[in-house]
Amino acid sequence: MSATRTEILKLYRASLRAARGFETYNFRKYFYRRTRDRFHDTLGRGSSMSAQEASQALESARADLDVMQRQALVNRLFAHNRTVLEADPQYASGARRANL
Amino acid sequence: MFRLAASMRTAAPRFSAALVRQQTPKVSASLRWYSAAGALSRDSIQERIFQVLQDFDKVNQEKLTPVATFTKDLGLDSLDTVEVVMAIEEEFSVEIPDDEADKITTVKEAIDYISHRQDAH
Repeated sequence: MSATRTEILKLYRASLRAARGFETYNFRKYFYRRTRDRFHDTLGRGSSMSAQEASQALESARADLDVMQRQALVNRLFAHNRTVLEADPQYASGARRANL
Repeated sequence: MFRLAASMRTAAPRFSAALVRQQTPKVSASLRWYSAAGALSRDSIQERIFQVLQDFDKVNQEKLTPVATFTKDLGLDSLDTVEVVMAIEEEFSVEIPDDEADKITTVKEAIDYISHRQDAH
């Protein structure tokens, strides 16, 4: 294995942060889901993966993190109207305020 | 001579006025400590963290207690733990640095961490 456990967790946390940085609701949710599903899938196949496959998966995850960080920045610069869903504070920006 | 007396007369009241002003400084009831700690009680932190964990569908709900560990009791893996910590970050509007986030492995540690963060709300 070319990467340590903490390295992968760090990459995962950075990726989720990058996904959370999108201003547009649909993009934000999509990239969050995509990152989560991908890491969980890779982790699930973990024992059956060769060292080369593992390092390839890690490389592409790193490349995607760069893309997400760039695109999130561009997305914030050109922020558009919020969706109807977000206008309701109960659902705003993923934070739950329903039972408070 | 007259000029001196006149100047003394005008100078005197100004002097006494300054004295009076000094003797009654305006420090009193309107004093506020804006730097005082927020009013997040431990109970409300625990309640909100429980709420976050209840929304997380992989969490084993029966074992949800204040002393539960994320991996052993709640049945989460290391990636799920990262997600839970991120969700807690979002709930309390704080950013937890990586090395601090790695140390949070139980519900109690999460509550402790948030209660020590002055900027959590």
